[in-house]
Amino acid sequence: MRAGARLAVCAILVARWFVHAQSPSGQSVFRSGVQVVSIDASVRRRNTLAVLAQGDFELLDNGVKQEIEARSIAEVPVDVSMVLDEGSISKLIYAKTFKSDLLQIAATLRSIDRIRVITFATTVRELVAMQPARQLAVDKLTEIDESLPPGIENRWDLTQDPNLLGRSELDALFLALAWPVDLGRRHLVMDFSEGVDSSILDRQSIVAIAARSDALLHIALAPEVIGRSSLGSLNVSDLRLRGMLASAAAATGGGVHELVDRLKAFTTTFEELKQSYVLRYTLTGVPPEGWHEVVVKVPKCPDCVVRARKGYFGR
Amino acid sequence: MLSTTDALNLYNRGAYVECSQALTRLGVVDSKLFPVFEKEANRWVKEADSSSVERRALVAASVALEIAHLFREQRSERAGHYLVWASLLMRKHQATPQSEAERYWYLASIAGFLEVDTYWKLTAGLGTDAGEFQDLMWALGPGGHLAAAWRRFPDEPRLLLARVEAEEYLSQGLGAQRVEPFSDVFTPERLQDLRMRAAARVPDSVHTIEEMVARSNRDLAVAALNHFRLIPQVESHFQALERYEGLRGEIELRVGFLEFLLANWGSALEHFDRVAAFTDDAYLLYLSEYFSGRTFQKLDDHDAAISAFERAQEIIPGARSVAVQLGKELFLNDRAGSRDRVYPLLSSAFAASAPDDPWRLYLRGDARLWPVYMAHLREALK
Repeated sequence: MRAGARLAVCAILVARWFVHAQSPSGQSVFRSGVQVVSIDASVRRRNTLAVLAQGDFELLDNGVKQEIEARSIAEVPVDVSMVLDEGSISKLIYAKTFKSDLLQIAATLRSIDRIRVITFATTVRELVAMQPARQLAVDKLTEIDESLPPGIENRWDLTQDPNLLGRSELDALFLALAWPVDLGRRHLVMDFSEGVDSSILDRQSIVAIAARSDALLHIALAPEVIGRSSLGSLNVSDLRLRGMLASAAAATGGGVHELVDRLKAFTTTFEELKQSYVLRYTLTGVPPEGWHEVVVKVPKCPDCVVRARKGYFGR
Repeated sequence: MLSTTDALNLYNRGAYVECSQALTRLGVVDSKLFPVFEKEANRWVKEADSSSVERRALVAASVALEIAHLFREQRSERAGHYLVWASLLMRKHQATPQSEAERYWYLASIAGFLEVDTYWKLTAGLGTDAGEFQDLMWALGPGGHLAAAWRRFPDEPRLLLARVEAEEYLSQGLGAQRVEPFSDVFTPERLQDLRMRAAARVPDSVHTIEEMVARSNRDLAVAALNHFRLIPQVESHFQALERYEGLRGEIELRVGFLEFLLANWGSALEHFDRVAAFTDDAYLLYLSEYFSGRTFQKLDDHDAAISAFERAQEIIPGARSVAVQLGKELFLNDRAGSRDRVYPLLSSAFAASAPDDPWRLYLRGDARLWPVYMAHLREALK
């Protein structure tokens, strides 16, 4: 890269950091009944998912130890909300079509699971309403726009796409996270993101919304993309947004993954979900209202890494 | 297949529906059409006798607006070629005195420019660009198309309003710097931070990433402070147009929005409250309630924000901006199961049948009025 072009890239990145300087915060909740709380937790030991028993867990709610009941999620039906960016970046990077990936993803789900598909470009579409995964409406999937805009053949052409930066990802995520989850089911939101956004929803709100949702949010982020613009090289990815998305996912106990392959990203996430636990307890010794910080530990395994919701807002 | 000459003749005869249907038919209008259109349309105008040449120019320029409208979702240059060609044609063939059809043509053309010109570059000659787009800007000259329109109709209120709207746009920064107007308001804390950054000492030539970051921070702060200083001037220019009764509602709305950007919450709310006294335009009424709700959010008065958003929802049911913000309030400030309303609210707002969102159109001036002005233009051309 020429020195001048590199300067242009950095200047734009700095501009974005500067404009959006703020601190993400907030965590999340899954509730059932007035004072009965359920928290998802997965545990890894040396990069492998650990198999644990109920007595292995310790849970503190606002610092007070709770009596918990641990249950494997493998037995629990899951609602999956797929959130897909119909933008040019995805279409350039991935050889496979949305339709073929979605059909394979639906095939990996169980008969007890359900799926819906939300797509977004300049606006948001709930393309497939929540329905049994094995009955995914194939005809609706043909409505996904798989084509690239005219004149765009490689990533250097990306800045010629008039809708490149006009993405409604956060609005789509809000629609996904707002899904009212039935008691006894879990909700996984899998967002395939290009890391570009111009939604109506303010960026800082997505973290708080994720924190208060009943969903587990995982985000598969496309690599940063450098395109050519009238100003020189342009990093079309928004680093500040990527940070916000990571905070939102973490608030639900989920995470961010590098998106190399849509099917692989989903199956890895879903397998991990199935091997995680629901820790359920009746809240005791703590006032129900307000923010509850939740800490999950596995005392017998000091080198285990626990991934769980960081807390919830009591009603 | 329809030729450009056929389309021009149809339009000239007042067969607008047939012409539009022919233009929208697959294959008639594509990205390669412009050179053909330009050549045939120029010849069609030139072939007219002296008594009809101005009418033919007006008809050809109107067909160009119709085609540009079809390209409004595509790269700006596509529509830009037609719009710039039409602007130059109309400057060349000026009737005396000005006709009603020409007046509507200029109003429709400003709306058409703003449909595709996100940054007011072609419309008002703001900023700079490169390549093909810069060539189009140069062709229009200083002040862009709006300057030419205003020279022909210096007392037309909507054109006067558009001139100040261009200033309003400029006062909020251009391109990447104007990202989130609802977040980047000039609160005392932000101003203090900007002033501190603007005063930072940075070497004239940068050699390291750290120096480059420091310079960028300083330059952005200086630019933001310049925008801040422009706002009162823009407000006074809007207020100078209050003598035009038909503009009062829009002026209250726009001055209120600028007061919002200045973090003058009370003053902003007063302006938004006054909008309804001057207009029954649903677009303006919706935005006055939407902006009120956004102001109440800044004041942490969530009940008032919810009420304002609900009033906006009644004015334009299903509009997305208010659905998202109302949904956010209900979701984050859950009271008595209000969260249960959020999913149906968002789901209907993002249904295919949802209306165009007024907030998305706000910084595009009269773009929303393109169908209205074109209907008047077609009528006046008959």
